[in-house]
Amino acid sequence: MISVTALTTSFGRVRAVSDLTFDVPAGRVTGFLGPNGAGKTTTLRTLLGLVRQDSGTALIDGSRYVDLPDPVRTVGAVLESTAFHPGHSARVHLEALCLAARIPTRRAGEVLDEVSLLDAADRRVGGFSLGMRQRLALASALLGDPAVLVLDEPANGLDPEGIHWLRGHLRALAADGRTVLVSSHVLTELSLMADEVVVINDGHLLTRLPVTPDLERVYLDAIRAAR
Amino acid sequence: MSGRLGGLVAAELRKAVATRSVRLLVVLGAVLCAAWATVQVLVFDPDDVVAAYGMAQQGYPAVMIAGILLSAGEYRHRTVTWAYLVTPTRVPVIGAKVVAGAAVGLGAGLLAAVVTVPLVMVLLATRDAPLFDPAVPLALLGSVLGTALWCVFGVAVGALVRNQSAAIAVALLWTFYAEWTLIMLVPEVGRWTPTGAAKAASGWTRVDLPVAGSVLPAWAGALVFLGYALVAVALAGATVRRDVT
Repeated sequence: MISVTALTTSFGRVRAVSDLTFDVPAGRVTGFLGPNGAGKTTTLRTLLGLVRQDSGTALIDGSRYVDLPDPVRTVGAVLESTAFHPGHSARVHLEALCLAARIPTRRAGEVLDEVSLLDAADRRVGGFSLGMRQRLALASALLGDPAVLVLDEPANGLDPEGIHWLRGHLRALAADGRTVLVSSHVLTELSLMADEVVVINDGHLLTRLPVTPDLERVYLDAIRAAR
Repeated sequence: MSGRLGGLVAAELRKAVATRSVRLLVVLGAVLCAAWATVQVLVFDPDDVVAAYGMAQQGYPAVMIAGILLSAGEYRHRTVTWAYLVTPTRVPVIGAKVVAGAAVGLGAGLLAAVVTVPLVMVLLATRDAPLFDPAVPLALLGSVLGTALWCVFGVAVGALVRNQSAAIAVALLWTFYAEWTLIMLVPEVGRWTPTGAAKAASGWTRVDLPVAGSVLPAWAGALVFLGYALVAVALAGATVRRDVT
């Protein structure tokens, strides 16, 4: 369970997130929707202890990320699909994470298999397509078998088959009782993947909507009303 | 070493060994040592036996850059996010990088010594110079440990500057031009610079050109250079909380 309460984060004089409050329950896929620059990535980075907030809290199971005794086994995160050393193989990337988190290195092979990337395990990531990088990022998030998943634009660069695969994967993870938060600026992606969406705009919470066939119309109305 | 830090060091070493540019720089360091040893014996001074063996530290620019890649490379490729997600307190990551950097630097120093020592023996033999001096073992020790510290120094600089290209440019320009200019022209100041101190630790004893002057005693040079490395590491640790966006 993720709880964001009155969160405000600024970069210099630019306020990226402003008094934002929302919860993400376990057992379902929650979308985090908003236009580019709405503050989604900043919110997720603050939640994960990479960026410091000005005020408010962002907690995972009641703890700040930096206070989690075993973060990798608690939270799996996908932040940037491009964040790999181009000269390292997928296996090196994952095994280094395993060593650092004190997870048996055989998990590297298991998660690669889980995301159907085992054949490419020993190839340099520099030669990977965007979709393969997204799979590798998801594999990294799954290493510690965490109960909470935080994914920033995980569908970016995936082809229709990849999106279908991701949806099935996320739904299965949520059905397991995990907490799944997925950000996107593409409404149709989230309408396929999520059970409900938290909508933010300009750093503020706009609304919270169930995923229904008329999500697009409701979303656009909400965005327009905010202007 | 606690189990946690041990795992982090193992992770850093896994990445370092898998990085081709780091491997190439370690080899390049040994090549530079061989080239400088040749120049020292054949061109500069065949009688300064200690300085000839001490050229086993002359690969330091390459080794320092290898150190910079170990830390700043994580910012360049944005992989530091993964490291900080695993270890959100961050300081242990810097600690592990310093230990891994020391290990890479030690490997580079040993490789350089293994290449330089037989080469210098052959070169000195061709010049009918004595092959040995009682100060040589200490000079070699200073060279190998100095090389390890250069890598640590690079790790700290890369963690401080974060921009890999800028870190390499600043480090090379500073050590090559600023420090060597001081060593050559104002030796009283130059001998206290990282390069001056590290050179002293490798058994280098004189400044021939163009102003007469001396460097620190080897032990003092080693301590001063160790001090620089520790200060750089402390600064890197103290600034590690900056946002990662």
